[in-house]
Amino acid sequence: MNQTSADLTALYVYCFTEADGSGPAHAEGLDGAEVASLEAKDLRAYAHWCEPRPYASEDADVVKRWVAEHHRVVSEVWRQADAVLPATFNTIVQGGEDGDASAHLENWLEQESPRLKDQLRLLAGRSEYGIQTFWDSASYEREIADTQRRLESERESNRPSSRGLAYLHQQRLKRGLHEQITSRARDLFKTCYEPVVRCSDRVRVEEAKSASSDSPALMNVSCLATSEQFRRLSVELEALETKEGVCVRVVGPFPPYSFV
Amino acid sequence: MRVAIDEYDAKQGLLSLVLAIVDIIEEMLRLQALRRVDGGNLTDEEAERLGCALMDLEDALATLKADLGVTEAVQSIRESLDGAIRDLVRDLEQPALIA
Repeated sequence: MNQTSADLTALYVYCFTEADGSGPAHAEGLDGAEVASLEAKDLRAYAHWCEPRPYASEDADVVKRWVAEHHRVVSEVWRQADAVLPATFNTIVQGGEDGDASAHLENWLEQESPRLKDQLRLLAGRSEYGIQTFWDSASYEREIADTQRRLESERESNRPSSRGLAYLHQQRLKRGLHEQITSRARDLFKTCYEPVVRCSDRVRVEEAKSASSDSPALMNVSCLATSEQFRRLSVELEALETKEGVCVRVVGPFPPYSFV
Repeated sequence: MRVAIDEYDAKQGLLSLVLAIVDIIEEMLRLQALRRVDGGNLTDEEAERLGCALMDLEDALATLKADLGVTEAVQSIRESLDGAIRDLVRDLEQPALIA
């Protein structure tokens, strides 16, 4: 891999693949940099020559663009290779005692070859999918109203009239409602999580963030699956939407960023 | 990266943090009070006094937050703390990867 300028002494790395697989003949990286490949020990790294410092900007739009360009290169390689190990944004290799950046990267590939090959074998033919489930707002409101009605009718017979006891009574109802809704949400999480585990090789649970207060998030996971596993998962998720009053949002397929 | 901090913001931040902690203590007191009342350990009179005290405390806290203009900031700190605790519990309860 030839160095293009005296200032560009480091290598910005996008991803790694097996050397015998196919890959893009030409790819444009960050700020239009020309991405080239470097091979060692049956492994291939995709990288471009850069200055020996991280890409940094105070302009969030510039950083977003770089991340998108990084993702574009990884995706192009991933579409053609059987398996890809994506590198994190801003993975930069500098030269060392063993020579310039390309010699250093080659040595690292040789040293890490067994581990990288094992990981590539596990990822072969698999993609990452993101799955989020939300409590459908109508179903959530119905659940709240039903629980509230039930709790109130249970406690109606001993509703206190004095100020302090009435406050405690109201707090008890609130707490009961919170506990029952939380318990129902936990059950729904299990119901949504089980098919994901059944239909994928690996699952990573992320924090579930609600888009709105009337449609709380129940589950946010990333999973690694073959296209056949994902087809089965889609069928199960569709059934959940109709049966359980949840909304499912699926994104992907992506290169396996969460599983390397 | 430089972080600009002005004295007013710092005071509001500190106040919000203190009130968020008082908010949590108030919630714990309320839970404990309900447990004691439900456990039958208090007479009706004691429960009445406890209920009134908790209600007054809740009102006073709400007024204080509104007067100081930190209601939203306190809520935001509470949510951040909830998130941190949720992450901790999740890390303890389940492995990140399931083979």
